[in-house]
Amino acid sequence: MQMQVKSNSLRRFDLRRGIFRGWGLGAIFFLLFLFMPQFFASLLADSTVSIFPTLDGDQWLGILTSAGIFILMALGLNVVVGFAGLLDLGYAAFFAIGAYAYGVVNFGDTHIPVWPLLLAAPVVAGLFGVMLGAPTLRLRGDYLAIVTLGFGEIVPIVFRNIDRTTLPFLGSVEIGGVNGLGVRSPTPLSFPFGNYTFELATAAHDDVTHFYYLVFGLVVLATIGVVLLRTSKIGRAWIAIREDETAAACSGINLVATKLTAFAIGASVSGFAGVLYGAQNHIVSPEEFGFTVSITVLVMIVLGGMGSIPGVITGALLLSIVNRLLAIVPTAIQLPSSALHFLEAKAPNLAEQINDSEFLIFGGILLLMIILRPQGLIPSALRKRELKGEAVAAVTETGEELVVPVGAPDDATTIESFQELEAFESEIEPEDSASGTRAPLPPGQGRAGGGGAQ
Amino acid sequence: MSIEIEQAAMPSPSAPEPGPQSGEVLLDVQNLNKSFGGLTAIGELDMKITRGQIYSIIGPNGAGKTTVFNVITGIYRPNRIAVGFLKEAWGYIAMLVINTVLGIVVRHLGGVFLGSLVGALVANLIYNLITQAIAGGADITLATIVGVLLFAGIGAYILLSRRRLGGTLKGLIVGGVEAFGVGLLFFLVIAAHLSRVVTVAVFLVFAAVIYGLWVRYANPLVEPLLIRAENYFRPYQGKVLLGGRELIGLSPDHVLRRGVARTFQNIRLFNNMTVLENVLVGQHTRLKSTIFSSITRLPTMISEEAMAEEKAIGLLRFFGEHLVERRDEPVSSLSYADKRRVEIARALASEPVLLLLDEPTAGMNERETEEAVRYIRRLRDERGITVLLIEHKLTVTMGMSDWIAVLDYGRKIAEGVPADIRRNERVIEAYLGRKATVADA
Amino acid sequence: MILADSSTQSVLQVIEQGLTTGAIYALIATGYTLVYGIIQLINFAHGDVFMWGTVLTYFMLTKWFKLTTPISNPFVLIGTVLGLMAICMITCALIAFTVERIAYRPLRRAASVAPLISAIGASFILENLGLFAIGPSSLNVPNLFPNGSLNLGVVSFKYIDIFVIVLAVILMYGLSTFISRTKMGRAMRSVAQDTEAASLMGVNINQVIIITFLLGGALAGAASVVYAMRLQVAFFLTGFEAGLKAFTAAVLGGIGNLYGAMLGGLFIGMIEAFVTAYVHDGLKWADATVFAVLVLVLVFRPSGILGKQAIVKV
Repeated sequence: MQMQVKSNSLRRFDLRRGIFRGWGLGAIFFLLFLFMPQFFASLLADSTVSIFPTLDGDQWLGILTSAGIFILMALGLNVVVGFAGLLDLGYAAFFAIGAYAYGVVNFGDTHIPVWPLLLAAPVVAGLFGVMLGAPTLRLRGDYLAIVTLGFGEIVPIVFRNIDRTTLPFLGSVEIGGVNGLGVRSPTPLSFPFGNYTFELATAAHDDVTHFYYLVFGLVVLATIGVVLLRTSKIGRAWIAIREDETAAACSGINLVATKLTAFAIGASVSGFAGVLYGAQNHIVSPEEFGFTVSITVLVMIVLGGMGSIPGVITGALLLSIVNRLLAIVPTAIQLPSSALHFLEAKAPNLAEQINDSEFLIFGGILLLMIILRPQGLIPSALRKRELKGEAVAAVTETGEELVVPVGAPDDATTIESFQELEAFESEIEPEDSASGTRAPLPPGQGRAGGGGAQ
Repeated sequence: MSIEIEQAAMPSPSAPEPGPQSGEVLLDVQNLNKSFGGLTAIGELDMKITRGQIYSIIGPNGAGKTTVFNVITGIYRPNRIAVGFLKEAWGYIAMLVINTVLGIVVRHLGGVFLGSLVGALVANLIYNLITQAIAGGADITLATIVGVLLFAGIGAYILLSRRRLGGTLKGLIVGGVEAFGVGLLFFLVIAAHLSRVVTVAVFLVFAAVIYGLWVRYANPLVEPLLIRAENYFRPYQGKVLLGGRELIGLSPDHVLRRGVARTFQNIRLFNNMTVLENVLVGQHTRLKSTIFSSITRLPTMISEEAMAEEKAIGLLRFFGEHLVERRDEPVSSLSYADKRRVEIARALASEPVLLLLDEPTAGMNERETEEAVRYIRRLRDERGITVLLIEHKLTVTMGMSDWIAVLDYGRKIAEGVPADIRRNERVIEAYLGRKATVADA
Repeated sequence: MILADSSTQSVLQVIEQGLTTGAIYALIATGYTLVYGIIQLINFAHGDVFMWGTVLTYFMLTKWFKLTTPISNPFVLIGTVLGLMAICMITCALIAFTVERIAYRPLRRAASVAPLISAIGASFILENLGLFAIGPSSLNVPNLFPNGSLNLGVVSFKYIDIFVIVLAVILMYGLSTFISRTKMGRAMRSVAQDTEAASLMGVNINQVIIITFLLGGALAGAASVVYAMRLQVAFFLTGFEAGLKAFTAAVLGGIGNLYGAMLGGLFIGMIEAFVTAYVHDGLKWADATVFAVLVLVLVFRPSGILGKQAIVKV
């Protein structure tokens, strides 16, 4: 009876942990992002600390906003790769679909607020996710990776090759072809409420701060949502599929439906991020959604720690800031003129080259991380062991090491059953063991039988 | 509340005393065949397992024992009936078409299409209602009637399907809240901006919602159709009947839903999950929470999770208090014997009527083996679960089983009560012959 | 007769185009499929090894040996090209070997996603080193083959195309002979079947893997020379573009299957040639079609055209 009481109290704790974790993490990031602009503003105010003299506050906010957009993407991809273990190499396709959903309706005469699009674009992207996922998700591992990679290549090509098209409900719309779409800022969404009017964020230049807070509000919501999903039935099913598909299926998990859910959620979040991206950058062009974007997001979650939400957010924040700085800083650094002349003589387009080397650095980070710290910067507590490929020794309760390697238990059991057979044999009357020899297996059946049949 | 949980965790209908080959047949395997390439793994296998039995399959390595499990649980499909090249080709093409149409179009795109259609009608309805309310008139058109009926239909469908799936009053309330939430969202959006584009957005949201419902509730309707078509066009040899219903053709998760759970020869736990989570995964099919209720943590979801954890702890306690204490540790840190126990607990979590245990004592020492024998007996005696067992340790099988089938090269060479098997000449020959072959090599 | 029709003539010409492109893809695809067969890894860096071959060809022709005009004497021509090819093959094999050493060997025993990610990292590094070497624009590579063609009436073969096809046939024949006849080939097949069992039988796994990477690199090197001369470009993204298509070819044919890679390469080459020739704005859509075909094939035959359905071991 006492046992019962004890487990009950523990049980309550167990149960709420998920909620605490979700909302707690959300709160931490909320506070962090709330004060981040102020932090950078103070950095800029103190001129001795300022190492990036040409960056003003708005630029910093721009960098942080795009970091937020990448955090959204990383959170979504983490559901697909980190939780469900489905390697998706064409993730940028859904990002592109979201961005184009925004671009198409904000080009030319039509322009609508960002809010309804934040509802619609994820749905469109999610539907595409389902359409891609439904037929392909029964593929395993590497095949799935290559199919998604192919899809990720097709989508930008389609956008690049189409100038105009007709869509249901919208009529003939501009897609922009190679040049992409120059997009106008979203108009503010205003709610009349009594005598007051509430205006909500836009991404116009005079309203960078609002947009920043919009993006980070969404990041916080997405974080909470993902954590809550992870600690529920569907989250457990994802992890189970990642760990062992066959066992998951035998535990009653519908593989296709569960994978499809992960895929659709990942795609939706990516579409969501795409809308924000389009609204922020004022241009949507096919060149921005290639393989490199997919890989960048993948690097973010690998760097942070696959499957770990704090890790993924940290990784995305770090990398996207580094990424933008690499693009901005070389032109901003003021070198002594002698050094500058020397460098200019030796390498005439150094700034460009540093600019271009962004992915060289990415590649290096990826390689070093996966070799030296495969679990990421902040790994999820339970996954530290896995990626290193350590063998987990099976030990009986009495402490004996077992000779049973996982995957090849037959030999061990054979030995055991023969020891037992001695006993079994001695019970029955002696048989002429010479004539007990059986015909050996027909040729060509030995290995196939061992591997396939058992 | 806690009494209820206690009962749920420990259902102990005293099982009827199992007499060998008497009583109701639970699992009926008829003429099962499975070959890999040219190798016959199972040939013309017949088995009848009575409810409440402990039934063992023994035989030398490579006799096809695990393959029997794999076929029953839907991991492998048995051989098809040879019907000649033309018929087979025709069947293959027919199934390809049916799978494509029924599987992709109906299952996925069909839901989306239906969803957008319904969404459009409902949006029109509400738009009409609002404009009419503003204009002051009350002109109910045919479209409005259709819209009202559809809307009511969807609501009723949501509520009734919850009820059909075993929901209680709480389930009804959750359904109502979900439907209301969707409706409210829809209403807010449409009230804020009555533009064409917004209508598109609303359509799409609706499409997604209806799609979700479609996948959740229409899939179970499509699945049996697919299985029937498959069995008609490309028939399998043999039958596996569980309580008279065919298992062949079902995917592993549907086999589990019917009440057949299994463990694996080489333990297959989810190594990076905790002990408790592993057992919770086993309850997957018994939990009803949706993505929506998970993300909002509706009270129903929280209480359901609490029940699930309580049940999981109850199952772990069945194997000893030490597992309960270690429930938050990753399962990879457990000892070999404990992993086997957790695996059985995971299988039990799905409330099976038939439990397939693949070498439950492999790799255990003597004391652990004895304990395993005890708890397998208790499973049958206390919980009334029928057990189908593969075992190499003959002392275990002989002592515990009500009925034994001996397999060799995929064929059943003998069956009977343990005492008969002990004296069966073909069995002795199979085992001794096996030994001699190995000794030669 | 129908064959005399001018449109039919162009069909044959399109097939000739497809055959040549396909032969090059097949050579690259073999590298993917060999590595996948042995260690079940998508060697993402393979395309970039190939790209380095084209870069090397560019440097050799324009900077080092200054061979910028076509050579008319066939013996000198073939000798020169074979010489260039030997250099490229050795270099590419060494690059592939280095990649294996640095990026894959430390992760030999790790979970499956880890080597794939390190492969992507290695690919990025190689690609961007290429960017440093030749800059962001595509450079013009001279073609040593004379511009003429062998006219067979209904179809005409450019000289370089003939060379490519003959080269591919010889290399493929050589490779399949190597795999099926030699001791090392047998070792490779045994490792592909069951790594552990092979090592228990005394096969040196590391040696087999090294040989595999060397072979794949060498084939990519051979392909890179003719690729660069035929299209007359050296571009740092070639590795990604051509590599992706070659990999698609390997998957289409059934990855891990040597003949599948050849078949897949030809298939992809044909699709590309036909789409380019017959679809309006075909050049723009060729890539998209290739990937769409990949998705479709995998949906209906999840393990490729010649691939075997794997039996799940339980």
